[in-house]
Amino acid sequence: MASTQLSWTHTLQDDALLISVNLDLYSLEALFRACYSFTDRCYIFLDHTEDSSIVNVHLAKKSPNGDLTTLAGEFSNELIDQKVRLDISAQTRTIRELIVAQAFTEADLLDRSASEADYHQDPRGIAT
Amino acid sequence: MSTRLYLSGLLYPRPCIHEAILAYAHLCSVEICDETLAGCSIEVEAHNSSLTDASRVSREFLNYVLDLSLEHHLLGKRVTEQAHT
Repeated sequence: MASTQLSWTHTLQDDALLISVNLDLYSLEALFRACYSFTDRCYIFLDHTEDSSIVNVHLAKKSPNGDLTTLAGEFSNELIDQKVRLDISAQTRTIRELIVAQAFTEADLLDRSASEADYHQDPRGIAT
Repeated sequence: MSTRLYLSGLLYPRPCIHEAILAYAHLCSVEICDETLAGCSIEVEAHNSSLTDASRVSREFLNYVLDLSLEHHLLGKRVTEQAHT
């Protein structure tokens, strides 16, 4: 049974669906990330006019049994997910960097026993 | 049957288009025309294919260009210089 058409999509003549994405709401990076996770499931073409904040996303199904409306709905949700992830990442960037820096400060990752040892001990076995 | 499309330079970097053309040379011929700084038009024509196959080849080609472009934007992957020659 075919899904009901989503109100924010437009059906095109070549059996593709069109979603207009406003770059004032969704960054290009969020759009790219959403597209990247869908290119294995459907055909995607991005259309953009210079001096416009709209990118038109053309979606076409790969298999005859595919449901394009469902794909478009999932793509729309993925777009929101990616936007939220990027927003949270930007908001928490400073504290994350602080946590990582603190962790590396506390962990002594360098083994200085070889470089600071006495030559009589010869930890690297250089002496013949 | 050929397909003509406009690829925005903001979305589809030129080196990615060139690399995709090379990768799909055995399936279709792609001519770049009307090049500007903002983008370019391409005309995709499948080799010896039926109407259905030609449409599929064009769409697969466009998906491949998109994948390369997305990797360029998201992962900073750069195509090799060979793709430009």
